[in-house]
Amino acid sequence: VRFEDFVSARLAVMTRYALMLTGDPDLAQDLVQETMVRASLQWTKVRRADAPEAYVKRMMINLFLDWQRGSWVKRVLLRETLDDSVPGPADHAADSADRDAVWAALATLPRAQRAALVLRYYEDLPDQEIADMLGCAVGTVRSHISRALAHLRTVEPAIGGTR
Amino acid sequence: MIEDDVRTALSRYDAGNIDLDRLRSRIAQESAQRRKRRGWARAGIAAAIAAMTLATAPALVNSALGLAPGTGATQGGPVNVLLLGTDKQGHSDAIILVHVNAARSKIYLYSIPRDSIVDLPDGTPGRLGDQLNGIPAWVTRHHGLNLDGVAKTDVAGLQTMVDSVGGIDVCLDRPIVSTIELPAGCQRLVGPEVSNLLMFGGGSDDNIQRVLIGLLAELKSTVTGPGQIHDVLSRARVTVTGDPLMAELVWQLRGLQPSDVVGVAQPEGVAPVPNDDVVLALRNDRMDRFVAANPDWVTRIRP
Repeated sequence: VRFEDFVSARLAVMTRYALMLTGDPDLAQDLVQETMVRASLQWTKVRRADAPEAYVKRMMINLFLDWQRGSWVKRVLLRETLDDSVPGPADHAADSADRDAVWAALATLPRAQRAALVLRYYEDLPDQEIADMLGCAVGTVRSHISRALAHLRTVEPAIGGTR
Repeated sequence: MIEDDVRTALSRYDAGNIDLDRLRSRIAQESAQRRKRRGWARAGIAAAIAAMTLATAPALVNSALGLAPGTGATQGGPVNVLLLGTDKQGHSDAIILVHVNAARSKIYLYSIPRDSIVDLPDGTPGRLGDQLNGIPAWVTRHHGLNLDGVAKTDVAGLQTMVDSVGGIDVCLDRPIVSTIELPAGCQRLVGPEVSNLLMFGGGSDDNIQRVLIGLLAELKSTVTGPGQIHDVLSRARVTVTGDPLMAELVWQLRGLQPSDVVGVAQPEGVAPVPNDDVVLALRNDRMDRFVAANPDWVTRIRP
């Protein structure tokens, strides 16, 4: 598979994935761009991976978690600073109050917890694979998710209570 | 259930009006630029490794390459070997001066800033790294040093070179969490990992020096004869010119430990101008004083 073909076939999927992680279209584009550039630079290695797409997604997760350190964002994008919280969702995509509430609550989560939620509830990955993606133990994944859900319930008691 | 709400919220969220074509062309542009920079970084590593090889076993190199012994090393003064890593455009990515003190107790790896603005032969200012053929003369003139040798190499053979000694131990002062993840402390790396470290690890001059120090230790323990050195060098396509060093020097350096190899480079955030204190210290064989007075110039190896 050539890198260009990979981009053509998977860019939309990867962009959507970045959007799940960041919750913000601008940050998502930056994240996709940086991930894809790095993938292209080591394409020989990526191509030989058992599942290239999963490999690139893992690269993206690492970059996303790395934002806490501010390293590549400052270096690559020359942004002043990024605060540690995850940016909120874009308004234009909202079409229901319920989803707004969930998104607003998601935006208050630490990145690792948010990433764990995305991997379980968007990607439907088993906990072991989530642990591999995040580079942590399965127990840590479960604690991320249970803390995240507990936090969502606290912040937005209405979520889930009405259905 | 709150899980269902999360699932629903995630699945319904759409990519809005992100322009994928524009994103695709930005990716292509940035990749091309970064690929060019990576070439330079690789050249730097290869040069550094070549330098280490020379500094470790110059007599073996000399005999293997059929060079006549020179006089610089036998006079008991400091020894200076310049290492240049080049890319295909003929620019120099890494400019490292390997300086052995007269007491033969320390090896200093001084990274000369490749972005230094210097006077070009035609009298106009320009970037040092773009003047490959003029670098040895500039270093000699600016530092007031006689070079005992110049080693040039290119990107080819880097991974083979590290792998040909069976990998090296690299010691990091802090963990790297990026496309690659490496913990702080000493770890065994093979060729591809070393090049990833230099491409994605940041602080490339520091990491080149760390790699060099690791390679020195490895060569000390694995290289058993001139044939092997020659093999490693020729695979890395290293060319050596200048006044070669004497077997005596090798004997004097054999007892050095990796901790006797000191990486020196401008701290980050300092403008890339040639620093007169370093120049004086090199010229007067007082790098020990310079290092003691400027701890932030010393490459940190351990946490």
